[in-house]
Amino acid sequence: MNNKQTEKQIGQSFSNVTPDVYNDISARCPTRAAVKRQRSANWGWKLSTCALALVLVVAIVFGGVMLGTQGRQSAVAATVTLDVNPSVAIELSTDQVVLGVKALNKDGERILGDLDLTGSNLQTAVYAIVGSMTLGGYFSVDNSVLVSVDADQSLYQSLVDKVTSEITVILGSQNVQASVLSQWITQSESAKSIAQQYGISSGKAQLIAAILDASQNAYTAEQLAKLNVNELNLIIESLNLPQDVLSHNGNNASQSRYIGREEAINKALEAVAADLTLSSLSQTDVSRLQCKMDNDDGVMVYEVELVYNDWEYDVDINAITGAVVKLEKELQNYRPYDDATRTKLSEEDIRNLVRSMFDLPQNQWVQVSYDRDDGVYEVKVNPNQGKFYEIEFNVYGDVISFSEEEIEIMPGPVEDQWQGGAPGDQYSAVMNYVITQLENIYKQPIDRSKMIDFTYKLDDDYRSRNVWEVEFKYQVGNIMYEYECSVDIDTMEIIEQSRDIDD
Amino acid sequence: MSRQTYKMPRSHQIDNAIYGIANGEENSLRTLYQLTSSAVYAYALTVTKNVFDAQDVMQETFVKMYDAAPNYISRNRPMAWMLSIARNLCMDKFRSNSRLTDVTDEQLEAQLQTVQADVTDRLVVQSCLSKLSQQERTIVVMHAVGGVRHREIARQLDLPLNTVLSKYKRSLQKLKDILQGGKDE
Repeated sequence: MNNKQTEKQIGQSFSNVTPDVYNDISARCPTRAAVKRQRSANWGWKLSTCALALVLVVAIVFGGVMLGTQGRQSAVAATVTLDVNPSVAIELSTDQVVLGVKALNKDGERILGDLDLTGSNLQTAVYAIVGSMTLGGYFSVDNSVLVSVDADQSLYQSLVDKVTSEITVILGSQNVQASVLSQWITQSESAKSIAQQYGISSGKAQLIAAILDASQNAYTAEQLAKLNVNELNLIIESLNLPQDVLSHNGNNASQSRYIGREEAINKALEAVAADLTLSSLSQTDVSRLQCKMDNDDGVMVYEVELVYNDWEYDVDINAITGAVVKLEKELQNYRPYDDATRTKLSEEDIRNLVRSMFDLPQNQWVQVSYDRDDGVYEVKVNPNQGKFYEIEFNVYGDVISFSEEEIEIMPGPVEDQWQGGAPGDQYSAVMNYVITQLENIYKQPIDRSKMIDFTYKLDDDYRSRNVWEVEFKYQVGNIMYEYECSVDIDTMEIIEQSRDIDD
Repeated sequence: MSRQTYKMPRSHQIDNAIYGIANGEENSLRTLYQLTSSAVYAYALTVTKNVFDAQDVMQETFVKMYDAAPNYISRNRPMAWMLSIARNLCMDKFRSNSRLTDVTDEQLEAQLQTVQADVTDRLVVQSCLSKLSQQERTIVVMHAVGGVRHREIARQLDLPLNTVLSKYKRSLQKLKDILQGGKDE
């Protein structure tokens, strides 16, 4: 049992022994009439400075006066949720008067500000909300809106049509061609749990559940929950989501934030040409060329696939910067073979071969393992800052697959067995620094190769900073020490550290 | 404008529920209760060391919080706010009722027997209450159950951050030993 598990157990146990007295409490809390919601004053921008806002306010006041407040006492008959990145829910009475508008995330609060849309009609509310999102800059590069309707199915289509046409008109007036996704909220268990776990709207959660289904879990819910609707829309374009799950107004998601498909293909061709030491490579030289958008650990990428000669390439291009994030190649249809005229290489031969490939010193760490079943040497090496390579060789030292990947300086939670590692790379530099600091603090030299249970991960306590939490155990005589240290890897500040006896 | 991705932190969900209550929204009280009741109860239990008093304090905390919600100003520390209400109520109980607390460990065990929970849960709770000092168990419960950050706990208890961190780790280790040693402790 480690500290995290103990912590979790404590949380669970207290939760399990907590008596349920909700009904008693609820009985003592009289229903309260709606009071204007108070907010802290730090929501950045002021609506009143913008001309469009004036129009909105007039529209709202006018709409409110026109429609009066006849719907106020009614029960909620339908909820329409708009997700862009701001998420906002509009509650409607049976006669489609707005009973209330709720922000479902922080961006939602920001765009709602003090807008009170109670008593207005649906179109007015959509107009005000989408207008406010436009002012907030949410459609300056993106164009996607997710409309989710939680209502009797008979109301679904008419509500979607109204909302979609309103959005199309408003964004059209700003020269944005809206890509509107719409869905009927089915209250599925999977969506509910995603919504709850990640604190997102049930509409966005349902969309994420659908993507997970259609992609056969190629992503994680956690990964998708961080994306905005435009990014999700781009991923959806490469999947085939059934029409009854999600309907679409036909406009593609905006890629104006990104370099575009053509540019991505060119970048990939350049990278492949460089890899093959060719002067150039054009689209006509390669076969089976494909390019689709994807999200790789939170980074939007173009995934370019192509075949050249016997090599199958898979190149990921950062969709914003155009940088090569990953380059993988594999020899098609490779089968191990015996060739009596060639010398079979040992692990150490392979290690030396890799050192010469990357021009590395003799003491450079190169991890080599031999897969007996396939007759293949698998090599892992990070020879320079920011790159990590995995290469497979056959027993004669021919490369049969190769993968080059950028090392994320902010890896997600990972566990590792770092024991000194390669000098020079940033990861090892951070670790060496941390351990040297701990050596100085506790006046105890640490032999890097004898650390036990070495782990590091991003410290969730510091959301806005790149803080790594490093943990390991180290034995001195009969005593096993447990070290912990949090370091800001941008400033190298040691934020917290401790050493305990682990017994 | 820069890309905004967002996962709603727990403190923000709690804030939203409190605003919802102030705003007369149905279900907000239930949401707040679901998010915070175990932390409030656990906290009250660590202070009163008495199952029945803790239950009283929990009820009173929610009722008081419900009344105070319209005047609530978020400082991104809603849990700390709720626990400070709970603490004042515990103090009121001490003042009004001198018999209160310091039930013996045996009495506490008997009280916990009345709670529907499994053996491990009872062991964890009882160990927290009887094997840790008042300050240690407050720190453990605030962080492990209430999700209050160590920095915030340090501020509330007026202790240096390092003290909170080391007390927390030591307490966790004690509990870990007890749990791994089974019920021998």
